[in-house]
Amino acid sequence: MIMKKYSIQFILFSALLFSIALLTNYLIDPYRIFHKPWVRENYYVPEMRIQASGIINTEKFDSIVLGTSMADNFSPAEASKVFGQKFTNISLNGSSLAERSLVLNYALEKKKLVNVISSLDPDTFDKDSITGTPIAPYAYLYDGITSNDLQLYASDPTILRFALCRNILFTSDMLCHDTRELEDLTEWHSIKAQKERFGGLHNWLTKSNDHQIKAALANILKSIQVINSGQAKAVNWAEVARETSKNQQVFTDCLLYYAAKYPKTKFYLFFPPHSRLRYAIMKQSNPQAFEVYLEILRFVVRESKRYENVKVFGFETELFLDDIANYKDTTHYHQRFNSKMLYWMKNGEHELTTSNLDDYIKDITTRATNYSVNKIGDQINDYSSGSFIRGKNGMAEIMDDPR
Amino acid sequence: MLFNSYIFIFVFFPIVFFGFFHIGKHNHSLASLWLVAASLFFYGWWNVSFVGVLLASIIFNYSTGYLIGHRVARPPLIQPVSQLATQPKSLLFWAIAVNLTLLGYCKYANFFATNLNQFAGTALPIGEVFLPLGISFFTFTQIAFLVDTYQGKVKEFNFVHYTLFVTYFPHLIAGPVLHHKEMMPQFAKQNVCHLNWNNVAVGLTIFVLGLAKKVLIADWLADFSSPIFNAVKAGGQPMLFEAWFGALEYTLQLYFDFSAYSDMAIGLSLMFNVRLPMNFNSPYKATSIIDFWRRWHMTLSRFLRDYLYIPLGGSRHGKAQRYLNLMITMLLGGFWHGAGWTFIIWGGLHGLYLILNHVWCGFKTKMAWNDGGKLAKLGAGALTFLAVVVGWVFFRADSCSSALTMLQGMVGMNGVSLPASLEGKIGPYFVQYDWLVFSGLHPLTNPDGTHALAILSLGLMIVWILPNMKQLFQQYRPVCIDVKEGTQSAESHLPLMLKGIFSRHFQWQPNKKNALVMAVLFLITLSRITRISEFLYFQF
Repeated sequence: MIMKKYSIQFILFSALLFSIALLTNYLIDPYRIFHKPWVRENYYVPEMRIQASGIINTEKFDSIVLGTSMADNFSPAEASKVFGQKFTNISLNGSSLAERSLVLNYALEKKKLVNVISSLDPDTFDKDSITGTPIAPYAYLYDGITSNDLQLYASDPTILRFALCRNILFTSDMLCHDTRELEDLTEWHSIKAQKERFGGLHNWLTKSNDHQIKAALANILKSIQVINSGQAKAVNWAEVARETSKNQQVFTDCLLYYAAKYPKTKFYLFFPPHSRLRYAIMKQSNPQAFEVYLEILRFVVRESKRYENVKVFGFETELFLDDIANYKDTTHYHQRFNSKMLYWMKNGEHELTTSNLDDYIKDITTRATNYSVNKIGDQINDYSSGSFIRGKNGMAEIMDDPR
Repeated sequence: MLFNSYIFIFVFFPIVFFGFFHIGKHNHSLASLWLVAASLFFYGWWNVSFVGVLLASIIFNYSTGYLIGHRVARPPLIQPVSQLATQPKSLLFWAIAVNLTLLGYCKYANFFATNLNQFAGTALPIGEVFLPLGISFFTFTQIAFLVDTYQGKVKEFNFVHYTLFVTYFPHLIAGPVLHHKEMMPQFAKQNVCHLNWNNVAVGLTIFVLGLAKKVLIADWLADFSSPIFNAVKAGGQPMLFEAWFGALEYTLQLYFDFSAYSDMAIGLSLMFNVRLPMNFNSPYKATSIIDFWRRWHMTLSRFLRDYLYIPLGGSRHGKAQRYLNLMITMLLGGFWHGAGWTFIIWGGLHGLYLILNHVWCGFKTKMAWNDGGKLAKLGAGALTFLAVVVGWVFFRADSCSSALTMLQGMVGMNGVSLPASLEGKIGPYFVQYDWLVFSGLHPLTNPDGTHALAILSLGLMIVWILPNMKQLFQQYRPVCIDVKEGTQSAESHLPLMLKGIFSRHFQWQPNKKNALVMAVLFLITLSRITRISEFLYFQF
């Protein structure tokens, strides 16, 4: 009898606690999947792969920025001012094009979007499905079925922390200090550790423990070895064609498909202006990767021409790319260029068309070829010969980093 | 289907459970059939074609066993020469050969082909691996049945019960390695189909604890150990602390993973009124390697002892032969775990450990030394643990060279890396030593060092201090008691003060507080089942 009572108690307690947790989470709804705040203050959680769904469900807007970290720093308020629409930024850090297409599809189905600004990071074209990507566990939030969204609040006990946070019972934000306002939900430019890395190479080197800096320095030094030894692999055009073909398919399925399906929505697609150093490394130490990039450029511009609602932009002819001080690593630029890009896109400046593409490609190829990667390497070595890295192999240690 | 999946917990198990007891009210045989069908469905969930292999193996072994049993029970007075091939001994020989051929083909063909190609210059084709899950387990289980039938120990030949004994879903994929004599009588009992709340309550609790062990501890440990071994596979050279972290984390991960599976299997089975044998008895509390093998994967050790070591001659033909038998048994035991040189080396290493252990015991007896005091036991326990950890490095590594790289790291041959925060304090005193750097405790993989240390400490505390499942539920007898333990109880290692706490607080009681604690643990565990995480022993 005791055992029967215990078994039933176990089942009842499980059911009861589960229901309480689920109800609490539903009431608080920190990701606003189901409703705007009822009993809590207005805040947003910067886990964008979840939060984007909630914003689409409950916020009013008619235009979106949906890119990678290259688009994180677009200010929704500024975009709204420039384009004269109501923007929100739901960019997903480090996302593939396939991941973004899941969110884009959902946003287009739920809202009548006027504008979509999206970054075209060529290295995010490689995956044709979301399987294994960080958004995969949350795909149910974007399937249009509201009832299964409850899974979110049944599957993660840490979400319960919001029950003790900035609501009608608890004023403390100790357990939700990571929350933000909608305007600055995605931006990283005000984060101290990121901000400090702009301004020049020395600011990278003093933050050499940062994984992005480690990867950047390792990449630079390895590339210099390849360039100086003349061992850069010759371009295998068959491989270029194969890689390009896959990328083209992903671009068509994940972006152009929606442009065709929603002709009234304007798509502003831009190739992020990574540092010249990055393109130079690619061009000089891995020319095949550079050729793949150029092929993607050609394909994107050529195919987009078929859609009146798609505009493609490339900013690589700008001089700011040459100055490493504008970057916190080889790829991420300062937010003032996000601001400039908004105006350029609105005004049609730097738009790539079939008529200006060849000149553009010629120009950026020349710039990437002429940029001195060695000069940057010398600066790194000068710095490391001081007290930068102490270890048995000095800078070689960075190069041995397996990542 | 995995035990740690929603589909198993909320769909498969409830249907099978209630179905079994509902049918069992009316017909015992039908209830057994229901369980067989459910087990085959469970197995087929991975790959339907595996079910064919399993059924073929069952039919073959049952038929052969039946023939052997029939002839052993009623041997003909005069044996015509033409029937020699159907003599029990011949039948047994051929049946074992067929079983081992199937296992060898599925599991070892590529290993032999690869090695022959490499060392003998042959060009044997390397085929695609077709390895039915749990083949090692169901093959061993059935070989034991055949041998026992030959020895006249098998009395029951009910086909449904035999099929259930082999396919019974709680143990099918990763053991325990069952013995027919401890299972078939349980399936045959009439009251097996009657819902027993004692067994339900205890089984449910053991299942929840096992699930928590797997999801909350083993999977968490894997997040730390796997990157280190993967980095070594990719050519990285771990420094002292990182190598130790990797080895210790894997040592704990393997234990928590496998013992969690065994606990879940025991708990699930108990709910069906069937007691499985115990498979783990706090192995990391062992004070010698002999003791370790009485506590680790106990049902496999029993199988290897009864069906390999003893038939080889055991200890009956002098010391040299005994050591040789030990080495052969452990080498084959290692090879059973996987088709790779690392597993063979792991087995060989344990064979060597066991030989040294026996030599040491013999020496102690000769010198009339006693077991020593607590300090000596602590030292013996530490040495045993160290030896086991070294063995697991081979067990986990993808290749012998990776294992050696890890071991080099563990003895400091790849240098030492300390937390960067210490550089300012002690760095100036070590400037001239290039083996010392300040790149953190995990310079190769860079995970959060605090968490790694915390999970390691927690894991070690659990395996060294807390009681095991059997001790927690001792008064409810959750396991069948056929496996000989012959080990000291876990309590005997505890300081006196802890023994009191141990007996007062670590005996599970069916009360409201425990129901609440288990419910909370269950919910937290369920919420963490967010990824597919197979059990390590599935691969064997």
